[in-house]
Amino acid sequence: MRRWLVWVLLALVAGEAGVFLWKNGDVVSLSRPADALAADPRFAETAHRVLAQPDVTRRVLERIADVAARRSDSALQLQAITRIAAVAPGDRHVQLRLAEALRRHGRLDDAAVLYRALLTPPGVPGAGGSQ
Amino acid sequence: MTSRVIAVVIVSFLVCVPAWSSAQGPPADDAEHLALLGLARTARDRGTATEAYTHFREADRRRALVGGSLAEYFWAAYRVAPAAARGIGARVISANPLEHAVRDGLIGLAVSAGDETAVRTLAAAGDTVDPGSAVWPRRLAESYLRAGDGLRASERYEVTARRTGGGPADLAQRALALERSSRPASAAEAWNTLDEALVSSRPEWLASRTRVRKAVAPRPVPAVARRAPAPVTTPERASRTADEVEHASQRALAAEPCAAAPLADLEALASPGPFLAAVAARRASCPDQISWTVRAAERAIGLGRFGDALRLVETPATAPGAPVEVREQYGVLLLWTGAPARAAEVLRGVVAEDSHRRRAADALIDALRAVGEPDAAWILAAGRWGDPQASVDRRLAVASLALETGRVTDALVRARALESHPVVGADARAIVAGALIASGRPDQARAVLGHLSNAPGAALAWLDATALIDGVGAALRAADGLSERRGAGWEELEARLALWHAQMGHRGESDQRLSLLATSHPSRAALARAEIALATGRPADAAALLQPLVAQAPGHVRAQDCLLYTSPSPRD
Repeated sequence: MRRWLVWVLLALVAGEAGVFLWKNGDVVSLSRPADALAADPRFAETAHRVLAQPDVTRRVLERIADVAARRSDSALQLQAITRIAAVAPGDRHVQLRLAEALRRHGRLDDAAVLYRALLTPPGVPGAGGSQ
Repeated sequence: MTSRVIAVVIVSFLVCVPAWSSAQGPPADDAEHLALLGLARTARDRGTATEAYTHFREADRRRALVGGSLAEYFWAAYRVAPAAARGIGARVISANPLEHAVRDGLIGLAVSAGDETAVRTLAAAGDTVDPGSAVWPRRLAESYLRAGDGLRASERYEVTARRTGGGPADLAQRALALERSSRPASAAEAWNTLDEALVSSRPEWLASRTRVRKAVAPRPVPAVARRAPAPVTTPERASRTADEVEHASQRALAAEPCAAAPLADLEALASPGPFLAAVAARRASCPDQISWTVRAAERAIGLGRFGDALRLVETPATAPGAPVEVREQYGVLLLWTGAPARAAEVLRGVVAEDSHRRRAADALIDALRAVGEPDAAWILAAGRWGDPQASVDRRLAVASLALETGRVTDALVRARALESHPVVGADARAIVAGALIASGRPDQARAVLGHLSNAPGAALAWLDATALIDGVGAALRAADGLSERRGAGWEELEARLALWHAQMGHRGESDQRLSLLATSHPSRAALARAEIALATGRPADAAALLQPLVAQAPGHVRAQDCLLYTSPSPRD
């Protein structure tokens, strides 16, 4: 009886893990080392699928931004940093990264607006670097 | 006691909370400093150099820039505030003596300021920290040459030629320096060791060699020049001042416009101006005018005054029945002064009239390539391969043209034949690699090249192969390792990098490269913009860019090829 119960529990755990992997396979695959991801030709596709999801943790977004930077994929990097900025609106460091990503992507006017906003001390009306 | 502990805890809490809350990002002054740097870079990417410099200066004022940012500040100042740039550059190389590009930039600024002492100090220090490079002895040699010290210049050029990045061009400069040091025999010996194609690639070299050869062993006077009288210099004339000779000659020419002796007197003066002016003002109907014109043009070429030389020969060369020698010189001068289309027109006539004129044929090949007609150039160049007098450079040009015109196997065979040549071997390997890439073998191409070198052709082939094997991002990252990408020969690589950046979405970098390219090679930049438009799915924009190019040069094969892709295919 007890042995039977253990097998049932193991089957349930395996099933749960399978469902988790099926639902979050893309996110799991992004936990590989950054060098391996940078060399993976399917990285951009995976990252776009992850970014299309509404709830993505900051850790995963940071990983996408980092690998996109390594691959010189400025569009993907910008997309990831924009999402990070949305979850951390008051973080001036993220605002700086967003401005840099905009500049690298060729959106020079948007980058300049954001940089100028960062020059205004926090608390002054107009500061905050919103786009 | 307890109340004191509580007070300490409260004070610590009050002190720490603001610090903790500001950990949401860098401190305010840090963020402002970084924002100023970002603004400076944005302005630089936009091409507004003065604004970029202002922001960099402000960032540096708030907190002293270091490392890469300081080098960026130097390059921003380089264009708009040369005096300030010299101070900034000194800080860069003081912090990192291995910033060779900045050191070289500083040398350029010192040259512009006429500060030869600084040039030599910088170059000597560069030679200490970078002892294998040809750049520093070359800069020293150039400085000595500017100062008129031909002997020291020749010594430094000799060193340069043996270093990495040095080569036959430095040996040619050495020969020129030897001539300037009044050593015609040594100069003639130096010129004699150099390849004909190399010497004729620069007019001042050709003129120097002609002068020293005349000085040490006069050769038979060419047919055109034979009709000209020999320079007349009598003891009385030699003792006169230059002003006296000039005035006397002008009076003599006013009385007798076709007189030759006054021209000979003016030709002997150290200052070339009066002689060139007198020949230019002389009547075209004078029987020996053509030979004097050729002599005056050669003098102007020797001084690097190609525009003056061109103006001198233009009238006689375009007159009906102009001798073929004058038209050849006119065509070559047109090519040297940046008018390849007109040069091709003139040289076509010369080669049609006398197909044995190698100088005209070689110049025509170069002109046709410059105007984007490689197929027409190929027809001429292929015949030069079997010519026993064709230099190795011309044979290399044939291999290169084969690749340019899509004759991949032909290019491979010809370039392989030159692979082991000590002078052009590296360039030949770049062509072999290009042919291998064109035939779908990028891995073999990279194996042939061995590594990413700082020669434009080889670097482009290496990066093309890398882009095919590892992707465009990897190629762009590899391109960052190239230390020097300025000067002739790099335009194709710059166009390729602009295209790749555009494909990767780095529009700022792409536009910046295109703007720089447009200043030196406007038609290549226009073609690159069209290629980018095609690669990014904007065929209408590509067509708008290509149509003026094709209208200007109907034989522009690459522009026409691209234009084909701008129209929808019949199947669409």
